Amino acid sequence: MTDSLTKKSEKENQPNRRRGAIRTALVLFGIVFLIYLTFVGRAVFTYYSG
Amino acid sequence: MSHTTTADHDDHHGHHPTGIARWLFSTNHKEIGTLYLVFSLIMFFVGGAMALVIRAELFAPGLQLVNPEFFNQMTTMHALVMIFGAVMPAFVGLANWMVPLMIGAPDMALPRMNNWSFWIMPFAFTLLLATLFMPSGAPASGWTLYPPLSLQGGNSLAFVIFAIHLMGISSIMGAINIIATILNMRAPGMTLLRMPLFVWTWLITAFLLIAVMPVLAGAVTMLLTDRFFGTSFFNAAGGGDPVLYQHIFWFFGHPEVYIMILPAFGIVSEIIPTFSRKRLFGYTSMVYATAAIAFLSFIVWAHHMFTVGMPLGAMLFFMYATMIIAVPTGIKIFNWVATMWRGSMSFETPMLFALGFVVLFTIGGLSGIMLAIVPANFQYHDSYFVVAHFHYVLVTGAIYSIMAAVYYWLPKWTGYMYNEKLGKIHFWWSTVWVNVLFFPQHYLGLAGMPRRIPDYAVQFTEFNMISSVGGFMFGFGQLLFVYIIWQCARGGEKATAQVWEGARGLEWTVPSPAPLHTFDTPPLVDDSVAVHKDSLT
Repeated sequence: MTDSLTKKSEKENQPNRRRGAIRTALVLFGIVFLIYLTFVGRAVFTYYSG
Repeated sequence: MSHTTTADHDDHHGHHPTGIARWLFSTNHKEIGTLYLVFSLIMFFVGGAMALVIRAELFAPGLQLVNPEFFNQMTTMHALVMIFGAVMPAFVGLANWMVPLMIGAPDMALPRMNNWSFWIMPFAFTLLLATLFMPSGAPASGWTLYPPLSLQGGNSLAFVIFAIHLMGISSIMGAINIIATILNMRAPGMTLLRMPLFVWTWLITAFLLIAVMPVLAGAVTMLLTDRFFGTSFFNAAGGGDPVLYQHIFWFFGHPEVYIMILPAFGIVSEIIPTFSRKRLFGYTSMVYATAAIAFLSFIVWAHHMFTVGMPLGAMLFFMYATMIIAVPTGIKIFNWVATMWRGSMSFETPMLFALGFVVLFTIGGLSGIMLAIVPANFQYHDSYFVVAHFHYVLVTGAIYSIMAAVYYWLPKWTGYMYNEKLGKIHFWWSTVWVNVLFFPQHYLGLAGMPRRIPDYAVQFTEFNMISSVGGFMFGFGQLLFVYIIWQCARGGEKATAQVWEGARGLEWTVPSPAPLHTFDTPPLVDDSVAVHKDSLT
């Protein structure tokens, strides 16, 4: 069966989906760490610098 | 439309473990969904028992059923358990079960992380509840853990903060999994604007979770270092600012409110069209309204703290920004009403709970607008009016939607119809007593009764008595809910694949009970099966 969106067969699509999912997850984890560091890291920096 | 279901697909999954190992090591979205839902039901009763301790103590002035310190621990733990243990895991459980089925995916995108997200939760709550048995007792400063009060308690604060970190990690992993699933695993033809509203609301909720859970983690980490490592982020004596904590906490806390209500909007948007036998009115506006509410939730946090003293301009900004939320929320309410308009309606239990949601959540929303008005807020702040407001939003809002969802999808999960008569009794019993429980609290607040106090002046007696009776009746009525689920899981009238006559969407194309593995071959989705006709395709 051909995906109407990607014009690829399901067999071709599956590894792409897995890679896509992992890529999405990694980007989102990166965002989480950035937000955490924005709050804690910056607060710690401010605290120790004066 | 074509689709493939694999009822006998388990043939080549013969290695599937049984017994405890099945649940410990499961990577199947349906089993993990069940785990989440069972866990949240247990926590609902743990948190409910704490609520009954609170209501028993407040039945009459002068009672000393529990000492005031323990009373404060109960108010704190009740909130933490209900928010992080009951409501949030219930929605994650529903997402686990239904999102892959609704978008035609074989499972969640990251199944092993899914297992891990769940199994962190029992450890987190063991840690949290264990503080009740520690020498210094559980935290007693309210779920917000405001310094300086929270810093003056015992060492159990460290365990609470670690538990909150674990819950945060679990929520973040769950949210990332849901986003990765929705963005990458949709079946061919399942365009974004063909997705069911429950999927849309969860996608937006997951982004909210990712944005604010690290903020909570940051806030409690700084609390931890203030308490145990000699820093002074929030300690005025050391040059810190306790109000800074309130700003950071509510930057998490207000979007958290929407984390607990957006999936509820999604559930109600699934149920009302089904039992009105019409497509949802204003689908696209529902999506935009959800996104608008999510955006606005980031710029209203200071309405929780008008009384700390802030510039007039800031108060005006937060007041108007808060009031603007009524616009997208109103769009949703009117869309649900328009969906029912001239529909061929029937009133099975899921529809009753959904309608209960629409009416009673709106009461909570309106008292929210009253609270947003700065001068009025100075009067209402920290009073029982606030308690009444957020219980209308969370009990008759979030929890009613979860109950509606359980009744709606239970036949799909178990393969049997639940007892409709008992379901209706559960609804009416709950609806009468929940109003007896929470409505008088509006009057108590307006008359000046503060929240989080173990005793009160005699003029508040009658409304407190009425409220406590309502609390006990509502609480015991929930045992019927457990009985109905247990009875349905054991057997009964066989459910069809579609279950409900007006049901539309991919989840209703698979048999009931849904087989362990579904959509191994993705279905092809077109307008005939989608809940919304996507004019872009």
